[in-house]
Amino acid sequence: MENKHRRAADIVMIAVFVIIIFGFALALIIKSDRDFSEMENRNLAQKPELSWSSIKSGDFSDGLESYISDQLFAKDALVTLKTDFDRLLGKSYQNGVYLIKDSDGRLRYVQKYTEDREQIRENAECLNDLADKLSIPVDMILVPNVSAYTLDKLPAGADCNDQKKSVEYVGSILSDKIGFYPMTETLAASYEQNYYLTDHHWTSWGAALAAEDYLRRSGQLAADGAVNKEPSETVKDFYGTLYSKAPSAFADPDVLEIGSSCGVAEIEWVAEGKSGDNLIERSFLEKKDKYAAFLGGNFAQVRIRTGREGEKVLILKDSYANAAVQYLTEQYSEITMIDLRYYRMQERSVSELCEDYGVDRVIMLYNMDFINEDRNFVWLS
Amino acid sequence: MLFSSTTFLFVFLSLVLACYFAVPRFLKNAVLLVFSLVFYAWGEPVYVFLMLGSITVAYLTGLFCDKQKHSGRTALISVIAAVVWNLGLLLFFKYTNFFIENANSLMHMNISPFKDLKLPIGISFYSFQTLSYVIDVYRGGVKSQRNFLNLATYVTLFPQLIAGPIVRYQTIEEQLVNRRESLQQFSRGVKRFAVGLGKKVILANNIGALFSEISAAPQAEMSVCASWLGIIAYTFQIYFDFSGYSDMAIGLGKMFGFDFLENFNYPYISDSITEFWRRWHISLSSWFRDYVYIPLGGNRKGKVRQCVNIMIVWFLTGFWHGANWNFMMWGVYFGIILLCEKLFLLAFLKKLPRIIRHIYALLLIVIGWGIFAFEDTSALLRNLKNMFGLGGLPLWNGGSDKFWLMQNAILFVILIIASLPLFKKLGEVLTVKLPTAYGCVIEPACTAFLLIVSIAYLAGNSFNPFLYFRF
Repeated sequence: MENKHRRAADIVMIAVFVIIIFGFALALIIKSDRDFSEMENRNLAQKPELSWSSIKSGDFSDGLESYISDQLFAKDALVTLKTDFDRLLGKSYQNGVYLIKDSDGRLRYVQKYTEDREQIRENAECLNDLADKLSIPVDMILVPNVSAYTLDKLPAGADCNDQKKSVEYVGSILSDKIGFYPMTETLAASYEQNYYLTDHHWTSWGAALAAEDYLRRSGQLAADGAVNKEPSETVKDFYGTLYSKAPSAFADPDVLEIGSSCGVAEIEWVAEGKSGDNLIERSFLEKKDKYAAFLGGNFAQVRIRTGREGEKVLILKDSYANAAVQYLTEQYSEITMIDLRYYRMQERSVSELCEDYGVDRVIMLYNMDFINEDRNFVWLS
Repeated sequence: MLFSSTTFLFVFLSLVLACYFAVPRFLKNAVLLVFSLVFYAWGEPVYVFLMLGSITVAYLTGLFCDKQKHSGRTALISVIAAVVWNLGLLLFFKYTNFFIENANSLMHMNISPFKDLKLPIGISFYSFQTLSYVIDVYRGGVKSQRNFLNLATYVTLFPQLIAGPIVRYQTIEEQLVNRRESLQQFSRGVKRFAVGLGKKVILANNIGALFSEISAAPQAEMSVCASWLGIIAYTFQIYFDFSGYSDMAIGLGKMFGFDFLENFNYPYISDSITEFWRRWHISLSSWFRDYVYIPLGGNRKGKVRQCVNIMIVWFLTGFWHGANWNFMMWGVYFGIILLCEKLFLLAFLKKLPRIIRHIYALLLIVIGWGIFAFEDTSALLRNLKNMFGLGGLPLWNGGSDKFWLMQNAILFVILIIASLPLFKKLGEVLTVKLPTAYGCVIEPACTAFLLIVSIAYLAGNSFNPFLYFRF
């Protein structure tokens, strides 16, 4: 009897092992290979070529290792398991992201922020230089990231700098020629609504609040004037880029809202030679990175003719502006969006563009993290 | 190739198991040999020939040492030749550049080091194995192996090839020709392998990430507590990494019907350094005992000679771990402590309560790792200074140190529990009390859990270092 039990136990143990090891091995063979991982946003390694020279150079072994690692069966689920196991071990900081709880108990991803005053100063000086060259009004909308509001919720001892101080610092070094509109206060009340849980961007709601506040404070809209913040459409199941860094099974997806004024007379992606009549690139709504539906992502130069009355503006922008522009189409007749990461000044400098397009106002719309890190502002000078 | 990789688990291991159990008995060693060579050649093919050369030397020496056929003189010459060959390779590949660099800096010479000289992986392990074989044959402890294939299988056996344990020929001499794989042994092997993989991937890698983060932190973010936290993290990392590798080796060996000797026996429960070295990397310390300490005279030639012998052994033990000053210092450090314990300290310690002895041993072990962990002498000194409050650091800064501690608090608790023989004892109790439930459900479920979670960590491409490339 004893022996029979022993034998049964051995067989169960061996079965567990065989199923797991040979299961993964078989799945590698049977399952068709993926070309692209939406989760990691990169191309996946394919089967390496087997040849004497590739073996000798070590390319084959390296290639096989990346192939197996990339095409591993149920890889996304396994990475999720790892994230949650780490959380179980008490690690609420993973891969540069803090995982905290919102007031309603939902999981929120917060990106770590490390202030780099040197870089901020350099970037601000580039913007100052530009403002000096222009004779039209220049405004700066500076948007803090969500970490500005969650410092007290981060894990004990977390080394995340205070963005509010960075925003103040920018204000203190910006030239008087630039109208400074920090959004720290505006977005503070119920900030949880203003930023996505799983993405590093602000929500359409947050962008709308900021747009309205800017237009009012700058006098372009009456003090009791309002932008239409009602969404025309909501898109569910948005898992953003921060989620991909530490995918947890307990994360709630975000809802992406599309404003009511996305239809325009014409929108033109200048360098791409493409045009359309809506700010929303609908194909992205089916994909993982739904935020890219706004304007289809970031491009060097996007020109929007809204078909309405109003000033012509040029927006120097990062990806935060992509969600905000839908709330500015009622206000302006023409919006030119320049992303300095992709726009090079070989053709025309920003001041030349302003002249050629007859721009009435330049708006700089950036998030704090961008000003802190980006190294492309030097293209302005 | 490393055990803790998806390529090993899902390609290599499944292939070698399938082939091994598919072929008839007389081909089994050949299958192991071929796969072991592929395993070794993975990523660095040329050094396979070096290893084959060492096997050939060992094989021929074995034949010449057969005293019935050859005179004692032939045997002696051949064994000396084999020792010279093995130590020569080890010295050349592992220590040449170290000697050159130190000659350059100490004696202001200008010899250019061999830039492309990469250390063949596992050379320290297989050199010691072939050495033990030829010396044992010469001494008459074991019979020489007539079958080249069997000897080659022994030396290259992939489970123990690159990170030990140093399996002696006499341990598996019989098993090389006469082993029977069984369900029971295979299932034990599975269990052991899963435990080892979990130790390496879940525990060691996780806490190792903390050590590398702390040791890379700028001095301004450090505190006395943080530097202790870092080195305690390394203490756990090296134990769970190394003993995890040994567990995986022993487990894989069992799957193929081999029984290797244990290499670790809960070293961190030791009450003295003498006890620690009976529990840590047992196959290495017993190797030095049998092939260096005892031949030097051991304790048979008076106290002074014994002290000298102990220091020689521990200097060599330290140096074996890598061609660097810190490894030598680490060996000498333990040599001195062991000497003190042998001469007077153990007798004194016996009078103290167990907890004090335990703290004494742990403290010295942790400080030892503080020497072992840093190859850069200035980093080593800085860290030691920091640990003992000489680095001008606050005891506790309430920022980074708090973060490191809190983020890893649960992990530390698990590591402490896993360093104790608690699970082992629990298993023994459950085997008796609930034989069926434990054997058929609990153990397989725990094994599946360890395997799946380990695979999840591998899938996440998390921190996964190989610590023994210097060995």
